[in-house]
Amino acid sequence: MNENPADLAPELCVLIAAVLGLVNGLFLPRTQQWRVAVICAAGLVAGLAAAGVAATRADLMAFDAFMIDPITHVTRIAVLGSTLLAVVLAARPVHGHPRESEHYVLILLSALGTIALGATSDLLVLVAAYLLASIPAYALAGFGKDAPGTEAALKYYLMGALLGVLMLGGVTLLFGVGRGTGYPVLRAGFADAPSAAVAVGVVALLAGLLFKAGAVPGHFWVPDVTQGAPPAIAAYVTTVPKIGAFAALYRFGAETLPDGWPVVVAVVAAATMTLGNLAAFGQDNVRRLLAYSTVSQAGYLLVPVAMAGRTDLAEPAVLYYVAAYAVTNLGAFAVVLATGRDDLAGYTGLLRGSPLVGLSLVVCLLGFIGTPPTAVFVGKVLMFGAALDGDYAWLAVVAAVNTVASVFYYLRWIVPLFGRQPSCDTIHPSRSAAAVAVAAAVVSVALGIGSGIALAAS
Amino acid sequence: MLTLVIFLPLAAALVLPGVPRRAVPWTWTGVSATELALVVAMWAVHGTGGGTSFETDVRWIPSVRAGYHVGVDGLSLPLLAMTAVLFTSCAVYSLRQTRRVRAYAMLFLFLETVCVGLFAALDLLLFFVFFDLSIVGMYFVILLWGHENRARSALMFFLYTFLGSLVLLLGFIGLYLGADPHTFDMTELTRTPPFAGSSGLAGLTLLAVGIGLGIKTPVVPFHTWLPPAHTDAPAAGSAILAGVMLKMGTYGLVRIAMPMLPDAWRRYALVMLVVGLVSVLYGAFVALAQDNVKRLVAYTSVNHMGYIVLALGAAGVPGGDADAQRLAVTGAVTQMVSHGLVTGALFLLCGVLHDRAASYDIGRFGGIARPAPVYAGLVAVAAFASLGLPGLSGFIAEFQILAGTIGSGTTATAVTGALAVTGILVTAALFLRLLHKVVLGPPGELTSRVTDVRRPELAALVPLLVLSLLIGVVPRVLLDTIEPLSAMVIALVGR
Amino acid sequence: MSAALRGVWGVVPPQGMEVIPGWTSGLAVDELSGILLVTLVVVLVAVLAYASGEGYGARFFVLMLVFAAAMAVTVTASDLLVLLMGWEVMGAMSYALIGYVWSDAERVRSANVAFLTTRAADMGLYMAAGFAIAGAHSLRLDDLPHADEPWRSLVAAGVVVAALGKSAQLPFSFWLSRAMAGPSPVSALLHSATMVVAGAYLLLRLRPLLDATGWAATAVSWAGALTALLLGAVALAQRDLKQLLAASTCAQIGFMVLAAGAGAVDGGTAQLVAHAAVKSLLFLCAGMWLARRGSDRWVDVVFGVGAIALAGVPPLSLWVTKDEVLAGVGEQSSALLAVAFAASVLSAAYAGKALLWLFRAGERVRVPWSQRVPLAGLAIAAAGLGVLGLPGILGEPGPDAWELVLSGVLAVVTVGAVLTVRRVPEPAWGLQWLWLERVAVVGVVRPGFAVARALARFDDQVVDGAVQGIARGGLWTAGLTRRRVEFRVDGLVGAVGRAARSLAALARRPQTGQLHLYYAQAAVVLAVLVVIAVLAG
Repeated sequence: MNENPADLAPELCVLIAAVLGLVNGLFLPRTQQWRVAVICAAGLVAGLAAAGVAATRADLMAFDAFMIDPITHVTRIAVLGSTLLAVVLAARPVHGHPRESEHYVLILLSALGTIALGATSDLLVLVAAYLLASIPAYALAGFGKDAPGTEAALKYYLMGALLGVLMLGGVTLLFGVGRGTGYPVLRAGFADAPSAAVAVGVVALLAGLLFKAGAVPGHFWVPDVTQGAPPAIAAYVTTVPKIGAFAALYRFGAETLPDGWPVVVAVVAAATMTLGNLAAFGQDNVRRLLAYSTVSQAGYLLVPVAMAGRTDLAEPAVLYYVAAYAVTNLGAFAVVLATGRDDLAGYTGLLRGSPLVGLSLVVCLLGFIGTPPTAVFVGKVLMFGAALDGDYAWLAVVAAVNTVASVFYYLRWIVPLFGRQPSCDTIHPSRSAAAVAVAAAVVSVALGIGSGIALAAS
Repeated sequence: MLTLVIFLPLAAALVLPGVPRRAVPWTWTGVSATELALVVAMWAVHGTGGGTSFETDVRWIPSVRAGYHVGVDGLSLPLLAMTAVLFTSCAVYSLRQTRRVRAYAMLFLFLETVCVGLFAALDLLLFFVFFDLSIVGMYFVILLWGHENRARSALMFFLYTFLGSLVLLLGFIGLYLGADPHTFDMTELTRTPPFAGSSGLAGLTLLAVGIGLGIKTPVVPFHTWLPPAHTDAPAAGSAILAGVMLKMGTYGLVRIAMPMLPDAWRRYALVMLVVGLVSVLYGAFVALAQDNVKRLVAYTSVNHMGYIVLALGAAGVPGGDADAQRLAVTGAVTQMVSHGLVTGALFLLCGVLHDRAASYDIGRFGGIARPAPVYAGLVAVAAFASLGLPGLSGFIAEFQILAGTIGSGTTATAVTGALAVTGILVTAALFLRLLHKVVLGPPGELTSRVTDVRRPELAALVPLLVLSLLIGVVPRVLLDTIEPLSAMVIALVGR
Repeated sequence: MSAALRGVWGVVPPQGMEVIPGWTSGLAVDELSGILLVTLVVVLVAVLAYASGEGYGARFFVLMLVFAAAMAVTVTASDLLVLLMGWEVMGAMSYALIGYVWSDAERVRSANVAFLTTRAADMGLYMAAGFAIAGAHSLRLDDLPHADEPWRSLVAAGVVVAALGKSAQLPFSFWLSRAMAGPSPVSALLHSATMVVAGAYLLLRLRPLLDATGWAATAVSWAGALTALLLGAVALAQRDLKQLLAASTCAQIGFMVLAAGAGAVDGGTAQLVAHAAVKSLLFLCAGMWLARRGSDRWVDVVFGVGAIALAGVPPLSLWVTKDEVLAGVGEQSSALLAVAFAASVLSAAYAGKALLWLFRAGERVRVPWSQRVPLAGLAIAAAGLGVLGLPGILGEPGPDAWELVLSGVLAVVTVGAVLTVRRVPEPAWGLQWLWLERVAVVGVVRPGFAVARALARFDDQVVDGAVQGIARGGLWTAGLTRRRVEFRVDGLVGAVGRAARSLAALARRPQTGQLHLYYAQAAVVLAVLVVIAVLAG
């Protein structure tokens, strides 16, 4: 049994940064708390470096519950990178906030939980990771202490609580019928377990993970939180926890292969993408629009998850799509933060006012549609390929139709950008958010063009 | 070399923000002309032999065996040349453009890269990337520089053709999965066609690829995005859309569907014949009833592209005479080039009309030959080229298509081909009606506003029509380039 | 043909080439082409010389030259492709020339009618090319008779339709009436050595093909004979000189078509050449009268010569050539011969009626020498080309003496009778060209436009409508989704904003209000999923 803590170096970096940040926050004067941000960012960068190094090594299992394999590598890099961008995004809005340091620390702890979620191959650790990833996020959602934020936090928490309890129940049931909590054990155990019990347990387990992924039926919090919470937090909670959730979903599906998994997840996927798309039509609030867009993207992401174990394309599809999605989503939110406008009309003429930010938004939105050569395009190709190869052609068709439908509302946002009268004369985009937006757009295109390298590395 | 040709316009587009505003149109024209020269040089090097020249194959996404694989042959070179000519013409035509010149030039240069890249792509995924980007680029052209209903038309264009592109993508993935080993490489897929032994899947894949390309072509009944898109697009945008982008559909049929799914193509050749025939007749008749010049020309595109589908269908009919089928395929490729030149010219001519009188309504003009004799002459030549007058390119193409289709010697091809011949009569009727109502006869309500063509417009239009004339009189340079390719396609479909 | 002529024409070797790779095409001059080329050039020179005195612009001469060049290509083509190229360009140039005065809507309409009618018939040639490839694997004209059945019959059918259309034979004759809208020199060229004779030429050229099919020769004979008869009657009924001449062209070409069908190729060729001289002469003179409202003695004389030649009065040209055709027909079928003889009498009658125009009062105007000379040349040709019919020049044995005498006497008597009576019946069906144009409009053009309009409506409402309907359906569903999903959320947030910012109220609302709905929905979905999982597992 491998118990080498060095295998968990990235996680430790984050943890140490979080602790250091917390301790420093206690002693630093309010105006100096930005240093915590620097510490946290440094921790994330160190974690990224460690993860990069780890990715070059062979697969192994640490502490009997922590798989270190391509899924974990991608989860780590995506989570740490996204969190870094989220910290940068958050830096300006919370500057001078009385609890500035706690803010960063909570983000880091949640990110830590998310990585664990994606990396674990043991149901008990999964539950612990779920809680670690969720609870700081509840607090973050209500960080603004304003009415919508508080309400959002409350709903987020209550939804999470219910589905988390269901998940715990599911884990218990699976433990019972599968005679273990490790995935390899479960796989063997499912073979001679009563299939109805397995089905109930798996669905209950799915409840919690789908909540984290923001998919049907756990999607109700997404619009409320996205609109109610501070934008930087909205960007974080619609991006980072999803990475871990999809990694965990895929890993569970691929490593335990329960009966009925493809059907159930495929139905969830179809429902999620359709619902998200339809609800996004006619939204005039860009944050709500983005919220539903994240729901529909979760639907596409569930397609390769459903195909777990059925095709070789499923794993690269999940991993590539999730990373691509994270970058694109952060880019879009960064633009919202940069402009500070929530209404579609507020974006009229943005391309004239600040061409770079506008262009980044265009790239990100076209990326969501799946226009080449952005990263999501490659993800979508792999996703379609996985569906067809897994003999779920109908799911591919549903996804294609949904993609076409989604063009409608993404274009609704793009069109005003080219307007003549810049209504955002008054907008002076915040430097850091604009930089994040541009960086995200660049990474999105680079990931698309350089997808060969990225896929080869994973 | 080929990579340079593909990305030169894009590179130019990227440096265009640094060019002084007044130099933008000339830079654009210069880059387009350079591009044209490069393509002509490539053609000269390639000559009229078979095979692929200027091939580059770089690994792109090795895990799915997709690469940056480009090359040119007898099918792509004529289309590349046509593309470069048309883009140069559009650049020259737009020398007087005043609205957002810089963005306009950048977008067109971007589109040029996309179109050139598409015709050079030898990898399905790469093909698809360019295919999809062409939609995005044209969407912005219509949205930002279009006329009245542009937002609606642009959206409809985007949604409809994007749907087509996704169906196409599913088809491509089908091809990828059907190949053993899985690959997106066109050369390999052509060498060993996928779906050996599973004809049902091959049929489904052909359906997906066919619908995807059919929407772009467009064939009836997937054509309804075309008229509004053309009506509201700017003249140069229409010229590119009809002249270059419609060819992507039929090019895909020749390049992808026929060689990679030969069994399925032969099995469903009759469907292609009928779809082609319906497009020919339907497009011609509906065009006859149009009162908007641009809609009229748009529907004639449906007619002309229908001939191509007809010929490609005939090429797949089992038991057909191989020489006749080769004639039909050569005719189809010739028609792609011819239609690009002639319809491009017609749309630019429509643009002149709209520029002067802000209307496309046939009923409000008449007797334009009086105030604008040169313009009238150009319209007449373009109209006769489009209705297939010998001595101009349309005749060579349509004669080969019709003679080859009928000459394939089966009952199905003879009947559909003979019925398709009626198309040339209806086309003649509709263009004579156009000439009668707009150019000839007594002056109409808006005639006084029409002034003759200006120098940039003339410089843009004359080369297109001269090339059409050259192809019509000395077609051998073009046909000899295409011939080895069509022989190869017939051989590939026949195996 | 005589060996002497063969020697002359034989020096021009066939020009072989491939317009389209793999399919031999080319231009070749043989006896028939040679005769037609010479005829074309002579008439062209005469007409252009005449036209130069009328002050036409450059556009006119360019179009005329291209028109003639297209005819030259047509008669020298050795395959269907090159033939079709010349053939179609000729049609387009006739359009441009008939609509020469383009500002007049009616003339443009006439040009449209002429072009569309001939093109409708030309479709036969397009199809024939395809059938030729299928049946003979060649486009060469001399390979066509060797094509396999049924392709050979199809080729023949296509060629015959195209030829009848171009030659304004029944049922396509009406376009020639419309073609009168063009300037007189255009008519003079179009009715004599180009356009209308192209059809007759094609049938003469493809005589072996007609023979090979069996039925085609008979069909062509009857089409020619009936046209000669009926259009002769139409010509007789005309009150307008140009219309009379136009109908007479149809009738005279009918004799050539008849000759092609009956196998009297040499007679038909001679008829073609002689008619070209006669008809160009008559049209130029008629144009003179129309343009200047008068003429001089010179013009009157040459017109008289032309009209008498048209009547078939001995010893002028058409008397000999027509009888040669009749002699060939007589060998085939007596019924055909009877019809042809009646047509021959009719031709004398309408020629007589044309002569009546000489007696109408007109101003005396001076006609320049530049126009007198070409007219005189054509008149000499019209009078003397009967030599072509002499045995030994174009080969075949001539008609029997009694036939010659009989037809000559009949012609003289008929002309005399018309000149004496000065009134001939003018029935409405004759005046209106057998209502052919109306039939075409009612039977083809109107249905065509009706179909076009119906399809356009169908396209807008059904095909596009379906697409729009799908889009609307999608939006409607979206609206529904939004009502179901968004309503409560929006309402909640709005209510929260309005009510109070107090935490208590906030805390209460979700508990009492809407969150349980989320829970309920989530629970229902999960239950459904369990069912699916159990069923699938």
